Amino acid sequence: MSRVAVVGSGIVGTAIAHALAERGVEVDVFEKGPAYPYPHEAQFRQHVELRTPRPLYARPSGLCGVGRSGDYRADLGAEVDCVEGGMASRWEAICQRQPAADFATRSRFGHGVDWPLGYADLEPWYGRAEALLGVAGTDADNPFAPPRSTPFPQSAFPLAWDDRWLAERLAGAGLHLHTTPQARTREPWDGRAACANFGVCAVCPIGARYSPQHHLRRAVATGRVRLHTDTAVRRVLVDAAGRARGLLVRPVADGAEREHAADHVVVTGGALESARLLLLSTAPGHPDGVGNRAGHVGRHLVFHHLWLGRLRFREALYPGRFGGWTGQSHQFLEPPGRGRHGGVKVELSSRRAYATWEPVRVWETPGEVITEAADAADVAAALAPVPHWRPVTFHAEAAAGPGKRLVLGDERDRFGDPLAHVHYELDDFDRETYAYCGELFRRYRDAAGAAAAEMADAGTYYSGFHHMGTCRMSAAEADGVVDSLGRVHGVAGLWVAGGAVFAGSGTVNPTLTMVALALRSAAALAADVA
Amino acid sequence: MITRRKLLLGAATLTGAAAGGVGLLRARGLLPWLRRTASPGLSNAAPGPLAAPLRETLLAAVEALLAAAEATAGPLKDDPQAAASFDARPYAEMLRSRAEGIAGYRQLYRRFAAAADRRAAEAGAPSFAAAPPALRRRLLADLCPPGRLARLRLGLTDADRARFRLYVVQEILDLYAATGAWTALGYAAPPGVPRGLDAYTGPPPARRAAVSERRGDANGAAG
Repeated sequence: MSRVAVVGSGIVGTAIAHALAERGVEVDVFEKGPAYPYPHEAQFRQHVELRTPRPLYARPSGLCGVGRSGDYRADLGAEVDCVEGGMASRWEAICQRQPAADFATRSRFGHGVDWPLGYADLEPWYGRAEALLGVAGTDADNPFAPPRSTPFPQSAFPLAWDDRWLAERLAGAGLHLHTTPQARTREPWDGRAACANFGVCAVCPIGARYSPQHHLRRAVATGRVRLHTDTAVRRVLVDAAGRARGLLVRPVADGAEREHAADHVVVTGGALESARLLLLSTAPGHPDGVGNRAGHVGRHLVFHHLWLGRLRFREALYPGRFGGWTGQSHQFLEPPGRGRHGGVKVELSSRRAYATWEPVRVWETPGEVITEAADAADVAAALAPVPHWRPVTFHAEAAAGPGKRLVLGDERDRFGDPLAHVHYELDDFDRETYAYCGELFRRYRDAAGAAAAEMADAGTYYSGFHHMGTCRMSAAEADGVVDSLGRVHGVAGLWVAGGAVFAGSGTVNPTLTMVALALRSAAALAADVA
Repeated sequence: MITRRKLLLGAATLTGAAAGGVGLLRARGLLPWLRRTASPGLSNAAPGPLAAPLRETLLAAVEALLAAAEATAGPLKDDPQAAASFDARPYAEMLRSRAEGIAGYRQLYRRFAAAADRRAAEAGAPSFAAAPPALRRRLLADLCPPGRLARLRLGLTDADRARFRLYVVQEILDLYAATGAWTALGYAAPPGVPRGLDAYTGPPPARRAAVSERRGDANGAAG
């Protein structure tokens, strides 16, 4: 028996467990994936030094997986990670506040729905989330940033030399480029070492890039949080009165299924797995899944749409000498046409336009270069243009709609439970957004004086692992799944947190908003428990 | 003489065989089958340490694959001894870790060494490791040639040679692409080496060199 049972040990589940433990609440955290060493030295060695084809800590087979139909080309199964710490064990750590307009797209721009809370409600929680993650940033160079009541915890990572070179050219055409707030340590912070710029942040060996394990280990050390790795949650249990009473859990390897009783259940499995768990958890009065009496679970799924572009310069700029994020632009988050199309964040970071991993094939991949090379001289020759290319990524708002949804699919996990199935296809709003990104791309190309430019076609988009809206928040049950605090409408004691509760995609990276909302939920939950 | 009956029978047989073949491939999934053929898996043979001669043969392959790049494009391009002076330790460690940690690798490495030595003997060399680098490169290109189609062809005719390409040559080149290739391009260090937070805000080393060569270039523009 626990006071609170949390499903999922990712950044949201960890933020909630840690906040509750600080308030003296007993918590059990269930994670179906394995423990994931922290700091990630072992992973660094495997990934960087040995480039092993069979790394340890790979997610177990038959546990995660997402079926897919529609026009989304990337492997959604690879976008659901099952390890302690979840996706934020390997994330890019960009931490931005969502602008006020993103909370009111219906009233401001005529599309989507308004959130049942506004920026002002969340502003103090943004500050706490930034302190928790140790966000380095500044608004001094970003005239488009929303107002803040607390300074950034750490100073910003400066622009790279090639960013400044580019910014000078863009400024002449009225295009702005500013720094990127990120959960990396500019200085030693809260027991984490300062970033040394290893440049392979997905497996940061020193904990400079924030990983949830940092706070999860601390929460466990209080003695009030118990972490159950390799333990799958198969159902949320609801009693006859319609109140959540616990979880049906099962060890991933061997072992008996058992019920774990809890006063409160918080589902933080990511937007895809959280919705799946609610849909699997039928109960009297909830024949289509708990929290789904109005049929909203899975229905408002939305991704960010990322379109890749790249610019080639005659000059060798040598981008990618910093592993974190440098330049980007919030100038087009609220363009005049927003509503007909989405707002767009432009990522202009000093990175190589040649990734070690590509979610969708836009241009030649490292694997193809190596497959075709006779020897290392061929590899070097194939990579020779890299210092001349800089990527431009368009990170676009999307709108939920009938062509985007999550349901239970025909494929099953190792326990025989249906896996999630996502149907996702672009609609007219998204195609308008792509056309707008194309306009922006040409502006950047011309302003920068690029010698060549390439941009992905509309169908070659990917989510950036930003999945949202499957349990969207609403003031009333008729319009969504949870209230603004994450309490599931009509099921006392059941909470959902994370990207699942977003009422729209917003325009910027969602993680800081997820953590801010989670801390707000945790405070309310602690009050409920008390 | 071919009669009309025989002609019709032959055409029907060919049509049936083609339709059957296509149907069979479609039923089995043509693309996954092609992928499996071009990328055959490893056996479950036990991992274990590399014997010294085997390690020597593998490192001779590393040297042959890397020497040309190090000598022509890398930071050692003006050094006539470059081919012999690159750091083989990361490659040795990668090969060791696979042989000792992952089933099938050590067995494949042994087969690779045997095949390489056989070809070296046919070319008149005492062994692959003792052959000159240029000959080693030629032998490798012949034993396991590059390219997706070549690997598919090998997968159909001699799966071990496809494995040599996939698990020996390509993995060596993959490590190079992630490390030495970046310094060869002019980056100060590859990803994975801590570079501090100052250098990236200044001009890159290659650019600094170019700028100093041009001296009077006020804009610092370099090719």
